[in-house]
Order: sequence, then C-alpha cells, then structure tokens
Amino acid sequence: MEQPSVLQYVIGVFVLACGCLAAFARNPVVSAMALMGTLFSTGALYFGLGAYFIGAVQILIYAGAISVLFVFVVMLLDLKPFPVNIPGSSLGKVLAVVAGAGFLVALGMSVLPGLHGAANVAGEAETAKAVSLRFLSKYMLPYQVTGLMILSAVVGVVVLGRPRKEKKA
Amino acid sequence: METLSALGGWLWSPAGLSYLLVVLVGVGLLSGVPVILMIERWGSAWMQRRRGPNRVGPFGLMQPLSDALKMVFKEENIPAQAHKILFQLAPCLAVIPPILAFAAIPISGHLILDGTEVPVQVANINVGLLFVLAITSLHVYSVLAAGWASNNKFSLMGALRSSSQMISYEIAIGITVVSLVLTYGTLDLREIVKLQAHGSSLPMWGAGLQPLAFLILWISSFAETNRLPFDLPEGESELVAGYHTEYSGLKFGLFFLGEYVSMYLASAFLATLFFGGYNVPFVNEAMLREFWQNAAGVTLETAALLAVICQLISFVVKVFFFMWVFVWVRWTLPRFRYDQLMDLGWKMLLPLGIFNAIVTMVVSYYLNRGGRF
Repeated sequence: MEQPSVLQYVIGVFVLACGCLAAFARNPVVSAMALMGTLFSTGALYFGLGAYFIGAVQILIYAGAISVLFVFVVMLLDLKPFPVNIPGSSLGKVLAVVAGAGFLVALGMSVLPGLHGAANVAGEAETAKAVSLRFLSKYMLPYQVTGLMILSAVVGVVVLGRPRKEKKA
Repeated sequence: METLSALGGWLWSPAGLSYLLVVLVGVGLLSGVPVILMIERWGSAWMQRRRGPNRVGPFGLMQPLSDALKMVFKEENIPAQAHKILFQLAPCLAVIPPILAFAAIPISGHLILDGTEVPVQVANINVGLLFVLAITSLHVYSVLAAGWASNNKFSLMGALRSSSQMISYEIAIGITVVSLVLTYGTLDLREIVKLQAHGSSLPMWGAGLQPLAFLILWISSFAETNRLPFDLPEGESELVAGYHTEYSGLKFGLFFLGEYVSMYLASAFLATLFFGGYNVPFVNEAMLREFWQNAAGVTLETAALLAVICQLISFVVKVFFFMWVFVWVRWTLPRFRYDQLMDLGWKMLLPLGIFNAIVTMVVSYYLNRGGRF
C-alpha cells in the first residue's frame, strides 16, 4: 500500500483547521466561509486519493453550490457577531466535555484502523461510469426516492414562498 | 552544473514533465494577460476610431507594464470598518480558481519520453470537464467576500448582483454540459479532444455536432466572466464599481488579473469542447508526426515534439480567437438591464439547454439502438 504523501497531511490539517474555524468563529460570515474551506479541502483530499469523480462532485455540489447559499443567506441577514452563552452548571459543562472527548476517542478507534494506509483508491471503482452504473442498477430505488424527496421539497418551498392572496373584505 | 543537467533530465521525463508544465502553463497564462490587455486597448481604439496607446514605448507596447507599475505603486487602502481578513482574502480567491482550473485543460498532444506517450497537460484527470466547472464555481466566493468585507453598500449590492448572475448562468451551463457529455460519452477533456480529431475528412468539431450548446455556453461565458454586455456588477452609473469599489492598488490589480485569466479559461474551455482543442484542422496527431518524420527526417521523439509544438500553436490561435471575440463584443454591445440579464438566463438559456439535452438524449438513444427506437 502507498503511504499518504506530505501534501495529504497538509490538506488534512487544513480540513480540520477550517472545520474548527467554522464551529468556533464568532462571526457567522467567517463561519460560512470556513465551512466552504472545509468542503473544498475535503474534495482536495478525494483528489489526493485518486477518486477524481467523487472529488469533483464534492467541490461542485458542496463547495460550489450549497455553501454559496449559506454564505449568501448569512450575508443578506447581516448577522452581528454574537457572544456564546452555554447554559447549565459548570459540572454539567465538564461532563459534556468528557462525554464529547470520549465519543471522539471511540469514533477514532473504530474508524482509524480501517483507514490506515489507504493512500490511493484509484481504480475502476471510482470512475464516473462505475458510479453511475451502480446508481442505475443496485441503488436505483434509493436514487429515485431521493429524487422524489428533493422534488417535493422544491414544491413545498414554492408553496411556502408564494405571495399570499389578500382576501377581499 | 551536473545537478542542473540532472534536474533538466528529470523534468524531461514522464514523471517530471507535469512539474515542468506547472511552471510553463502558469507563466504562460500570466504573461498572456498583458498581451490581451494590449489587444483590448488597440481593439477598443480601433473600434472607436481613436489612436489608442502610443506614448509608452514603441507603438505604446510598454503600456501594460506601465499599468502594472501604476497598480504596484498606488496606495493600498483598507477601509476602517472592513473585515480585514476577508477583505485581503477576496482578491486571492479571484485569481486562484481560474489558474487552478487551467490545470485540467489539455493544451497539446502527446510527447514520447522514454518510449512512453506522455500527455502534455498539467493534470490528466478523467473528469476534467467536471473539474473545470467545479473550480470555476468557486469564483463566486471572491465576489461575495469582497462585497461583504468592504462594508460598503455599493460593494454589497454589486456582490449580490454578480453572485446571483454567476449562479444563474452556472445552471444554464450545467444543463448544457449534459448534452455534451451525452454526445461525447466521456467527462475526460483529452478524450473529448481526441474524438474531435479526424483523419483527412472534415473535423467533426463540437460546434458542428452541438451548435445550440455552443451558443448557450458562449453566451454564458460572458456572464460568468462578468464581461460586457453582462458586467452589471460594475455598472458605474448606479454602483460606482460594484464589489471592488473599495479596492485599490495591487488588490484591485488581482481582481483585474482574475477577470482576464478567467477569460482565458473560458476561451480555452470553449476551444476544447467545441473547436477541436489542440487539434490542427484537417490533420491528426499521427499524420503530423509522419509529416515531420518525412519532411525533416527526424526521429519519432523529435517528430512528436514538433507535432506537439504545432498543436500548441493551433490551440493558442483558437484561444485568441475567442479572446478577440470577448474584446469585440465588449466594444460593440451596450450593457443589459438587470431584469433583461436574468430573463435571458432563466427564460431563454435554461429552457433552450433543457430542450437541447432532451433532443440529444432522444437522438443518442436512437443511434445507440442502431437506428430504431
């Protein structure tokens, strides 16, 4: 197995830094931009793994389309930086930190051994053709159901956003 | 000296070539910007029957240099209430995506190094078409960040206009690309270029196979690069200078650079998809190599190198054709009104793109079934 390159570690650190910034930044616009950075650099990681199709789709859909909407909406709302007040006693906060750290460790222990050394997954499995064939055969039903769900969401948005007709008195 | 020649040998090997190309393409792209700047100044002067630049250097040739020096030496002003980090990040975000996306453009054919065929392209990835679209979609962030971070109402209005314009036309581009993918059956830009090469017959260029898709992508590329007639974010009469109102000096220069590099990218993309990319019209790569072998009596490796140079020239000529059209249109058509721009995008180009995709689907189904439904 190929060892991960230095660049992959650099990108990985960038992903984590952007993720932390997205979570901890006081300014919502900075948060949204950092979220974009996270999604984009995750796409870069996929490229490093040789999964070009997944990487391109990740950047196109998440970094290029979805987080633009986040940034757009946050800018339009003109939110001010806000102080974060976590309610609850200090004992509760300590317990929350311990529980969160424990969850992180458990997650790492279950995921990391499987990932070790997986520096390159390039191959037939990751091409656009293979992905679309699987979409149109094995995962046909979930694919169609997801499409239906998105369609109903779009219709719902149009219904909710439609200007109300004023009743004539 | 020995290390230098070792380095040269490594760069001229299949493994090192892409590093050499990173430098060559990057430098070539950035030094192409003053060229188009000069062409634009001369072109506009010619169309308006003015003299154009003629003071700096012979025939005004040093004008781009003086423009660049002016930007370097101007004071850089950051507004007091601006968001400092995003304000400085925005110009970088304007330049990086178009240069990055250029990595996936196949600029020439294949070299023969150490007995293997090496594609002349910075990154030969199998989803080049998606890669270019994905990276160019990040261009919006520079506009949004610049507009918001400037803390200026003109900037914000310009940014909102510009980003909604770019997103709207991206949808038309996305739908149109579907019909192209159906026609070529691949997302690999190099494969698409190869499919457009023909022997001695007329080249089957994409513009002939998909004329409507070509027209839609061409119009959309003007909107994507914020050029006239769609340069509403910079509508001087209503918005001062749009999202870069507050920028001065080299930061404004970076926005300027970003606009011209994305014009190069759009031109190269159109040439690759519709005008046969690096192919020399009427001949294919094998014929070019054979010609050089017979005419100059050189080895296959040298013939491949000469063929690659011919193809590179062909590609550059095609790119400059589209660049000239950008200039031509800018000084010919007046600016659209904003509602006209949105109507064109959503009510004309998007339905036409969907129509084109459906027609392509029916035709390719018919052809794949051997001529019957």
